[in-house]
Amino acid sequence: MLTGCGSSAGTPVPTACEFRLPPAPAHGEVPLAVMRDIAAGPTEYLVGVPGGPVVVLTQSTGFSPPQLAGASIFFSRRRGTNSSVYLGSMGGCAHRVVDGTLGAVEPGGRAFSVLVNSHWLLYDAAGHRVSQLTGASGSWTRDGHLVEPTAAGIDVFDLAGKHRSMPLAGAAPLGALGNHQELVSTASGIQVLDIVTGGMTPLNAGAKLIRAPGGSPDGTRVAFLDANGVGQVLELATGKTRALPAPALTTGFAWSHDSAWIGVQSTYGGAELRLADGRVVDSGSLVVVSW
Amino acid sequence: MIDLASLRVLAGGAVLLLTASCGPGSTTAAVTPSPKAVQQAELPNYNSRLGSNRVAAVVAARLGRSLYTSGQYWEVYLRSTPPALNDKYDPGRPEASTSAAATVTAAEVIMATESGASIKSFQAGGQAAEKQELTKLEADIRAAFPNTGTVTVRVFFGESFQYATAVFDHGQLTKYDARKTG
Repeated sequence: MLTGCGSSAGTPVPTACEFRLPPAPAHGEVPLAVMRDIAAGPTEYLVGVPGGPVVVLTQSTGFSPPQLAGASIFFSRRRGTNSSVYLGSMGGCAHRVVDGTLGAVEPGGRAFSVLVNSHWLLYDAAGHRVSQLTGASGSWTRDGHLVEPTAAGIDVFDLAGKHRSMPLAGAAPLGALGNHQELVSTASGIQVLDIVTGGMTPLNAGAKLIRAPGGSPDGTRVAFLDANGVGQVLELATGKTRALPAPALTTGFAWSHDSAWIGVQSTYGGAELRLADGRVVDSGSLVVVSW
Repeated sequence: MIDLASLRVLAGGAVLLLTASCGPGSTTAAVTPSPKAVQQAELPNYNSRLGSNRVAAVVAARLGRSLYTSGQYWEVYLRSTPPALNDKYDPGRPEASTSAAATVTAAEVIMATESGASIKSFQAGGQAAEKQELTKLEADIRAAFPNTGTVTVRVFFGESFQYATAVFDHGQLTKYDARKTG
């Protein structure tokens, strides 16, 4: 856990404090999130509480969204024509980890993918190159596996950079579901891939057309757009769905780390739903990018 | 078949066109900026698809959201006069932009939709209902820009068919022109 400009547990961290990040606003029951104002320019990202106070992280994040992971925040920053990946903590220092554009961050903040000179690479949080990736930013499962599409199927990388290939011709990874599952698009519809066993099971969603699926970190639910473009949450155990709030045309979803909240992204702003009690937070023109 | 005389006329016209663009008042074709220059360019702090400045973009998003709540999806763009505000918008303290918003003296809104359902819904109550809906939007604009004199709302069905224009002066609808549709 990085708390300032020193070193984090067991991993060497550069000590140069290039700039201080603003303190995160106090938050209560609504967790802290990375947000975007849809009225803003392309590189402004905010950190704060949906429906509550926010602070501008930086105006120069490049085009990849910052990501919170544990107590740390990863983000890209433009410097002239170059982009660098920074790591810091809200209210503390941020330091440059590697030159490149940030891809996907492991949920625990232990590693991330980064685009360097047109190649996707896997780095650890200390800034050490771990491995070259197959060719995309990939998506992380909660147990620390990075899933990447390949021409023949899927590659799964672990935190040490070891990878194994799963031949799934025509399948494209769509994002993680729970600890060790990945949602994949196949010719016969969206399926759940167990990245440990390689087994595939169809998504329990009846005949509904599923678009833009987003699996919950606890693996119990999948958010998706139905045939009418309405956001729905599917409960995998029962097959039951419930409609999500729609502030405008829904474009995507963001699950909180504990799967308790889901952020609905739309063309004119966001709304966040707490699944346990149906509480909805209206975040106006802000949308949650990640929690 | 073109004869020689016609060719001379055409050639002469072409020469005239070419020389006409070389006078002192002529414009020089802009040089396409290099990718490096584009990458280094300062990016705006507002969404230029929504408005001419950050406050205008925020208001346009609010209008779009309000219309969506009433069952219609419209793309909304708001251009204020002046188009740019002397303001460093802080999304954590939007109220700090109130004084900049107070300098706006006029606003023009373009709302466009390609959604048949939205068009049907907008026209469902006849022109009286259309005026009422646009008057509500104007009130929202006035709330954000309290010193606005003229507000013009242009309603497009599709990208090029301008269906209606509404002009408000200090909150009063002074003109509403709507074209007939099939």
